[in-house]
Amino acid sequence: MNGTFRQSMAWLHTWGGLWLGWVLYAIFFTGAIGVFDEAITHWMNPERRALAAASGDTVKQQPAIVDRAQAYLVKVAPKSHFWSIGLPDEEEPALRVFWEDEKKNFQSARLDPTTGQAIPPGLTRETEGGHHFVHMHFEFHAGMAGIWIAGVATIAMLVALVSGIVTHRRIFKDFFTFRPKKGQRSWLDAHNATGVLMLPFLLMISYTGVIVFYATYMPAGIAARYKGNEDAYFAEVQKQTAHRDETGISATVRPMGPLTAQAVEKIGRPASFVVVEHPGDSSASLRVFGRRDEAAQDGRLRPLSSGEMTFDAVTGEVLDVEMPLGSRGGPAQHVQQVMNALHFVQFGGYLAKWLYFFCGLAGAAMLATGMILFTVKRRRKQENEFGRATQRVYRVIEALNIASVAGLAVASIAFFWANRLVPLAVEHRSTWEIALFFAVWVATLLHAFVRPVHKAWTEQLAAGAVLCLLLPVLNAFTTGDHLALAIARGDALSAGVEATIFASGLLMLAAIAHLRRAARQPGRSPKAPQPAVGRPAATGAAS
Amino acid sequence: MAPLSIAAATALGLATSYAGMTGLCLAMDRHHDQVWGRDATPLVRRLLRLAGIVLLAGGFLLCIGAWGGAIGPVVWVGFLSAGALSLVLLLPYAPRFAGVLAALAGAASVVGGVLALG
Repeated sequence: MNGTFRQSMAWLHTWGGLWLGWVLYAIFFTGAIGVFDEAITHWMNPERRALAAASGDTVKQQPAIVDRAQAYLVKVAPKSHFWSIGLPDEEEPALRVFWEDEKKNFQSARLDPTTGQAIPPGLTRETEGGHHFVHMHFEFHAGMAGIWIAGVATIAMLVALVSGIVTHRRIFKDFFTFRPKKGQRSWLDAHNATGVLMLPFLLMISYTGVIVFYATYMPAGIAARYKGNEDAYFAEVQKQTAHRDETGISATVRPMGPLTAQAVEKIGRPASFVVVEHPGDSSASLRVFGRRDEAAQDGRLRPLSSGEMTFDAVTGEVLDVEMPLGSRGGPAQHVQQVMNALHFVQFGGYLAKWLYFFCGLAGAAMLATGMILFTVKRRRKQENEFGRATQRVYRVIEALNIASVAGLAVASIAFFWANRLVPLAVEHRSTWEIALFFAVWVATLLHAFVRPVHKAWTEQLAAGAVLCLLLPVLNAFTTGDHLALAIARGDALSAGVEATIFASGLLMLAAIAHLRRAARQPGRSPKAPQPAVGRPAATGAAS
Repeated sequence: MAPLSIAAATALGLATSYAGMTGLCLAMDRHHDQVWGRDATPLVRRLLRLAGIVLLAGGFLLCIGAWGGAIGPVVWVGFLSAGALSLVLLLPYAPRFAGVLAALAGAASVVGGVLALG
């Protein structure tokens, strides 16, 4: 790392950006899709419409429904650290129950709200839905390990943004510059333009992304002051009722329906969730959360409370009430709430969601162009950073670029196909969908190693385009629903999902056309396979 | 300011951002040359820059009016990025069209602004 400050920043930008670029690309791409998680979940469970029609007005029946959920939970998890009941609403007609089993694993079930019985497979499409993309976005379905990987990558993103600004000498002169069809120059322009023009969004989304998990990433304070007890810390910082430790004395949770009715009456809103901590223990507490009302937020960036009420779950004594539109905690807590709202787009409705979607994709494009630039530069002039292994390392980088950009797109659309093709009655159905997503992704990585670089790009984009463009056909064949029907019944969510995916397919076709054009003009082509790296001969793979 | 519908405010916000960014962009010799084949005179350059700043500032006020002081600035920054990026992607492929579009967007911004105020 000799040389000037700017050179060392360029070194940091290149290598930090490269090694964590693939992870960051996945985070940005799935995060952009995850903005529409509700719409995707809606598309992914068309069976819900029948269930919603059968269960009628569920708001009035809430206390009875909570009693049914309680009966189910007493049966499957009489002693547990945690029960949670998700009440049916317009989007989700099923009654959802969650609990922690003896091995501290999180379990869930979907019940018919009118009977309290588990919905038999076949009547519902058990799916992770749009949450799959949200989980990919912050933990790659890898739990705490994934959260840490995402955290390290996001810190690297902030470092890359700052070092990128330092490296970019002509930040104002080149502010509006994009010179297409000029090979390496075009990739650099595209990387700079997306990076500079999206800078406010990129800084905001990366910083707030780290802040969301501050208690995990910076545990020292809670470890020192609260002996590592996060519950106690959050209860104090949010000025809620003190966290109650388990006593070990058995006690029965009283009927939860009447308590729910009392809470709904008091806060004046239907309940969304009912949560019990330590059911079966004398310390058990029950908390009823009110339903979120977007309109009542009234242009605020900091979300106000939806109302909640806490009871002693054994005696029924009221421990705490927070009325809707109330606000708790000190300034630090409020700042963090604003940052969360900024990160999760909890403001501005669908306009803000679409802005975030496009900004997120532009961020992904910035990462992709940076990663491609790395290889394009070295196809022209090798830099021998890895001594004799340089050729092989370059080939690995090419393959990872292909699989992380084109491959992830193919895997993501394959997830939608899996949602329609996996039979309804399969056990662990939602896990199967996710497994198929990963299987397709791994297949694209293998494909990227086996095929010549240029062909691998084209073929994967073609696969993605075909899957996107045929999705409405698949939907029509498997569920009888399609774009036109969705529009006719005013189902903007389903129609929006399918139309957006169709448009993505057209975009991929355009990308393929661009690649083919570029391949016909070798000298200037950014993607033309060059003997040095483009051919997999160096790795010994078939060409 | 009369309350604008979200759709109208979005259209106007994007128009002010696109037109304003084009004003700043075409005040630079390189891009002025791209559209008109010659450098801008100092007067034209100053006028373009002024128009750009006025349009972007107008967009800011519009966003505050439509979304309030908390969310308005966030939406405005999003519009800035969207307007600038659309311009950057359009300019090299269709420079004249990018300029004409900016003129239309600028005119629409002014008309829309007057209507919203009146």
